[in-house]
Amino acid sequence: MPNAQKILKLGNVAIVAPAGHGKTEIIAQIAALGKRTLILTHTHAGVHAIRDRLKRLSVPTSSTTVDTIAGWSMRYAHAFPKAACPPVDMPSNGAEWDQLYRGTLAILNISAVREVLKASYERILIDEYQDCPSLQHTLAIELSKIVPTTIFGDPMQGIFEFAGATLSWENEIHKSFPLVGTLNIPHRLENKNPELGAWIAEIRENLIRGDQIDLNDPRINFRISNDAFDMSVLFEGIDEKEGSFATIHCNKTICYRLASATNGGYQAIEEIAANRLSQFAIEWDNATDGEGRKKSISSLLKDCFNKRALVDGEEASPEETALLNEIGIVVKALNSEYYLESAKKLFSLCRQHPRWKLYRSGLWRDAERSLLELISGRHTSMIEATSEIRQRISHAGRKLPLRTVSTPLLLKGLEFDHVVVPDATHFTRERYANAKLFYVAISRATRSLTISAPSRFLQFDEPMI
Amino acid sequence: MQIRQLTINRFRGISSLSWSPDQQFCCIIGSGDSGKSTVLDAVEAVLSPRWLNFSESDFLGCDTSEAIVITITVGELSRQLKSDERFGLHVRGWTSKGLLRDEPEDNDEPVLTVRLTVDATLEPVWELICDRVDMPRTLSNRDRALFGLVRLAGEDSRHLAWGQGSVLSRLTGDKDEAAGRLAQAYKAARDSAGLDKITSLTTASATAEGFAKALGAYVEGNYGPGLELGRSGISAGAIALHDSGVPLRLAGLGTRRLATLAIQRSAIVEGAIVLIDEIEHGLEPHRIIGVISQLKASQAKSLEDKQPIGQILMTTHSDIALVEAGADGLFVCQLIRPGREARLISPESPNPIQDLLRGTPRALFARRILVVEGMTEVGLLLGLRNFWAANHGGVSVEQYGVSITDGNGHQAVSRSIALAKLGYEVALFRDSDKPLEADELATLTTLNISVFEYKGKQNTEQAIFFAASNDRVQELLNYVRLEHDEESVNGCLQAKISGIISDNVNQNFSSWSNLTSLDGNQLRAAVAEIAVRKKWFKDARISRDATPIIWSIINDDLTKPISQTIKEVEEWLYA
Repeated sequence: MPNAQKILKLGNVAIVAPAGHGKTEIIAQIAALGKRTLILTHTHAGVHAIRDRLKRLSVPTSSTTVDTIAGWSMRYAHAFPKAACPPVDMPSNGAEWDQLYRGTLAILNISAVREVLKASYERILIDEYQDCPSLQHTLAIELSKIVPTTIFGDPMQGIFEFAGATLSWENEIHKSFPLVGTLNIPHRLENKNPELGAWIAEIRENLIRGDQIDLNDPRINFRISNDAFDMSVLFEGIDEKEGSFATIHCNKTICYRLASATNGGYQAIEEIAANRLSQFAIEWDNATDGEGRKKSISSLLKDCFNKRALVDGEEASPEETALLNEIGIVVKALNSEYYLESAKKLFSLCRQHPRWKLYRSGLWRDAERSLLELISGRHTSMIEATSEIRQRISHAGRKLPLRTVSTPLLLKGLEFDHVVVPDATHFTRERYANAKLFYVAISRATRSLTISAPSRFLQFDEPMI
Repeated sequence: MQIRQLTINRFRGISSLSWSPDQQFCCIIGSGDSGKSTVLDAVEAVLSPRWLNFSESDFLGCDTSEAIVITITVGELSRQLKSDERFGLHVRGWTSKGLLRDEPEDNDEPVLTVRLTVDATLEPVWELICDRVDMPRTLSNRDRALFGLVRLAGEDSRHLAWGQGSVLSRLTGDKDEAAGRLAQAYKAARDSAGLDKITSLTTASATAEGFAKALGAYVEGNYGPGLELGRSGISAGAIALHDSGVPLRLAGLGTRRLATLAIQRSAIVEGAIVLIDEIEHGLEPHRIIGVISQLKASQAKSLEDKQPIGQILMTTHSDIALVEAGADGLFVCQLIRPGREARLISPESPNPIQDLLRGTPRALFARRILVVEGMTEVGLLLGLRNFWAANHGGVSVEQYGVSITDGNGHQAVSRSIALAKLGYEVALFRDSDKPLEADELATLTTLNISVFEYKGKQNTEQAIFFAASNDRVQELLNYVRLEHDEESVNGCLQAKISGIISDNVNQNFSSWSNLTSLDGNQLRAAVAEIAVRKKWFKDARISRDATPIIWSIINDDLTKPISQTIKEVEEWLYA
């Protein structure tokens, strides 16, 4: 495996980096050697991770530009709109994204733009290359004809097959970016749980070959169970364990239900697209009276809280009764001219209910913040306010709860001390990239990995890589 | 960096100007008050990093109700300017045909447009213009410094010391180190004043010396750092460049200017835009030639090395500088009154102007030019101008901004046309023995060129002799015999006119009609023919010295063709 110095001297090449093998580190090291490096990745989370690493290596911010491929393309396409014809607003569907990338490709034919690129960058590093759909790959090839480009990625983490990221590394990617090395030291687990690291590395090889996986291994915690909602798996030994937790399930809806079932012990996190928040915003903006506003909030309440019913013989406490009275008054005020302030009060009162457990705290908080935007007068509609909040989160990054339940897609690129995979057989039923999804899930762990399944053997499809 | 386009609106004496200097070396000439310096001031106002103070007098007609707007489009951009961190995403396109496109296409050159606006508040605002962004981007002085503008004006000894932001301190090393080294230098200076022991300063001095010598500054011994304690005590500016112990600011004006220019230019690696006001200031002719050829040579070298070339905009009143600069980058500044629209015009085809530069370049500094066909006429008019002055209160035609210049015979028409196209008011004074071609006449008429010719298809010799009385003819013959060999003059007369022989050739001309079978007119025709053939007057000095006689001929009879034509010329010259 060549070091950063050597990679810098190579032309357009590819580095393969399994999860936790110090990919971000080597990207930052290469950037540290240059004066004008452009680092492109796919998500804002990725951008943050790279920026943090650059900061840690004291790479001057002036010497590197870190952006998402989408963000960077937007910036260039909108700078030369006549030739690029980008979608006017943020692209909202696949066709519009394609339009953006085609436009960006078009302006690379303009010599003035090529001069700008040469003047701006001496090297381009593209991270998470496995997530590139074909048009981004074409863009990378064109860029690499102007500025030397090194790409980084892991074929085994290419879980966006459903979205068209189906490039073949051997037949397509390495034609333009020849493989010069594979990172082979699992830095992430080296000092924490090297045995687990070794197991994940073995499983990776098995998955690549399409071999059967044996979960009965002392290096992980294997529990026989055919129920994703087996709480004992999720909470096993949780009091003794320190650090962050993640429960990973491929199905978004099941994740919400798991969060609800744990009474908020695990928090569900929101997608960047934040469809549920937008839905709330539309309902709120459409509401013309207190009744409509109440409906929009109670519908959101249902999706964020697990309301435990009173068991037989149990009676509401005096505090609870008082709280419900107060809520009643505030709900009425939703029809008054102070409806914004009332709604804000309602959001905070709901958190205090003893039998209501919040399990989508991110969503509830975002809705609350959007409300504050409206109160401050910075925005006039809830749709505007929520999109502002969404943008802020997507740029600043979201702080994760201590215990998270979510999908491989949302947790990709993150690491957790303890990872739980409930009912692992459900992975094998995924239509696309099931082996890769499973690899992404298990490779999030740094200290312990708990997997439940009805039997010790799992069989995945041979992955497309 | 190179200026691709400059537009000026309501700045000082110029109401409007639009100029695309498609040359790397531009020599701007023009008569006084034609706006040359205003053009350089405008460029400096837009691209200089210095904060400029504007006052009412900077507005056209001191009227602040309409803003001053100066816009410059710059090409040959440095890497830094093109970087997307700076202005890369604001680049516009300069087409191969010299047109500006807001968004570059195909192979357009990337260019940036900077606009300076000053309104009644007198606060200058610098902005980067790009129609693709909603709000123009305001440019700071640091941003403007990236355009690499250097102006060599009159006195500027600032650059001969290591003051803050001076070029010398930049030459001393990269930014971070320079500050540290200078700090050390101050300390060292306080301790011992042994500045020559500080290698960073001596190295920079030696570099500066090299640059200065290359441009022709006189160097007595060696350049080195020296301490000059001013009122402010020790400060950055207290260390100044010395030549063998003598502060360089005490050197002659020319050397000081050359050294300053050399040092300033050297600090800009990626093609400086250099503005030079009156390059000849303080320089002897050979040094003017030296500095211009050096500047051109270094541009040629950059071109050869595929390095940024930069651009030089120079004004001059020196015909020596003009000749050295050549016709290729020549721009004539014309201010069209009363609208005060300025134009910078370059020769359409440089050839006639190049020839003119070889002959009488100084004509180009006039406002109005009288092109005369040949040396006979040049001498004649140069002689007559002394007599005319008496008719006009002793004021010579030159005071009227008029220049009389040689048309070099057959080139007279093409020169007149070329000069008129450069915006000069032009008249053509010519022999009428060979009539003008119809197309020539049409072009001359279109360009408003007055043509003065003798009536009756006469050449100058004929016009003179036909108008002359017998006594005046005799005076002329006497003069010719003095100027040329008497023997040969007489020989020609004898050969041409039968009846005139060596015995009677020296008799008074009034008696010749008795000696020959020819009448007075025929005799005059014969003498004129010899004068032409033998080129008696085809020498500016000889014809000039003959003007006292010719002036008498004119005044003897004001109805003669020569008298009338010369009168017309006089009226045009004094118009």
